[in-house]
Amino acid sequence: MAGHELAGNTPQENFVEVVVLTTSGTYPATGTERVPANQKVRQQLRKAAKELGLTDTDAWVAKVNGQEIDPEKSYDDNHLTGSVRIDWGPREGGGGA
Amino acid sequence: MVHNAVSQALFEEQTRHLTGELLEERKWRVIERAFPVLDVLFDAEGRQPMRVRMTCDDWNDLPPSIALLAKDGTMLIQLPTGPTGVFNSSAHPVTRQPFVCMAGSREYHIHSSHTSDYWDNYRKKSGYDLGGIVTQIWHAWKKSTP
Repeated sequence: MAGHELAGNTPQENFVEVVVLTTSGTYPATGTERVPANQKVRQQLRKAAKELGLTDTDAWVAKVNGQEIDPEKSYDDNHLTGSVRIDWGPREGGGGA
Repeated sequence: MVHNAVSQALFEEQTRHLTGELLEERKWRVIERAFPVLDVLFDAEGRQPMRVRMTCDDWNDLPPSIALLAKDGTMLIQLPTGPTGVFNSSAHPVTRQPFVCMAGSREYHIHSSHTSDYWDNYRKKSGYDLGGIVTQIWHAWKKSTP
């Protein structure tokens, strides 16, 4: 057989189980959603925003276990595995004088 | 002026998700959630807990009046310090108390230094519902000196 692939040797896709937590609700409303680990985090945040009726959230901060993550990167690139609980909300406002 | 029933309905809608996993993740405890008062305790390892007590009369015609309290409910005299400038330890000219100096706080918008920074410019913006305002204060607290 020509080529490098052997029967049954298909790439295994990794998945993570994700919930997005906000003060306007959680997405999904119960449990978690199974998401490919190579998918950008932003995609799930967009789904959460749509479901929860949130707007203008591009500047919001996303954290996992208290550490800020980069929504433009994938779960893999953010070093996130297994069950992922994303805390998402507006950053602190600037203080006045 | 927003009718009291409308204020209460908005208050209920914007605070009803302060439960469960969110509180667990953020280490928040809701001390009181009864219109017009929302009182949330922030806790974190290695720092003094702080309560944010928001009085939301005339919400959202007016932003909440925000008091910063110790865990036992007494007024905080010495506020956290840090890079955000959100916690102002000086006596507010009207309330004579330390205050939250950030858009979304009634004390900010009535301070003589910010009277042209109208609440109306924020009230419909993302992050300026009641959950959003508490979240902003929490993020400032997390960045402050314990």
